Amino acid sequence: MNEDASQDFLQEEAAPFRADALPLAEYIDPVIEVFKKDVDRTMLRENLKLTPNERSRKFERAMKMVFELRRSANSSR
Amino acid sequence: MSTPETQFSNILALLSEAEIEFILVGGLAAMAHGSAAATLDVDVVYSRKPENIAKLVKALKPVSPYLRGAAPGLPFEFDEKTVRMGLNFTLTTKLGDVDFLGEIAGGGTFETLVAQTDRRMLFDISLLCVTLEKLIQLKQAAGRPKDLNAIAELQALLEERNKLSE
Repeated sequence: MNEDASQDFLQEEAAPFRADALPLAEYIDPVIEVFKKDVDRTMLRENLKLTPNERSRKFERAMKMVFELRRSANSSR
Repeated sequence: MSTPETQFSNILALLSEAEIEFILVGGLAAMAHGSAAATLDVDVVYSRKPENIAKLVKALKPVSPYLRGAAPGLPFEFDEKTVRMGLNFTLTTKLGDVDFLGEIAGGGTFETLVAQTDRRMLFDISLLCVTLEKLIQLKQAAGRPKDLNAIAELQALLEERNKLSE
């Protein structure tokens, strides 16, 4: 690439962001389908019965336990 | 080094009370939609308007924001100039870890993403949260191997939610 061409390349604008260029959320990717077989749907169905606010409180309780376990694991090293 | 506990509700309350314009994305947004996955930090897309940056800097000052994973003692100051000169910040604070994204792959800025959000009540706080459909697209656009499980779970969640509305 000569110097002029390299300048042109550097001055090229990045392609503008286009939301419609993304695959749909429902896009079926064979790799994702393999991972999907391991998803515990009973947990998801239970969560869907709750309001977002109830989910956030449940999540907070679960995460307190996760952080406690991490702390215990770190202090026992 | 001890693992700080992320105080999710306190972080969101801090941002909300300071009237900062932000959109909840990442693991907490997934939880808001019904995901059962754990997450250790708060991810938000913030508006880069000067007045919003000023509010963000002021609100975070008391919780000592610092670059996550960086060596201690660096001359890092989370001030308006730093935020204007930067874009995405992965921070640790006294309340835990927070990622402030000026732009997100597949979603763009706050102003472009805001059309694909809905207002949800989380931790008794009303927040803008990215929609489930958009969250899946964001994870797809990120293209990280670690997100494969998350995409699978979110798509399963979307299928389950659609079944309920049929």
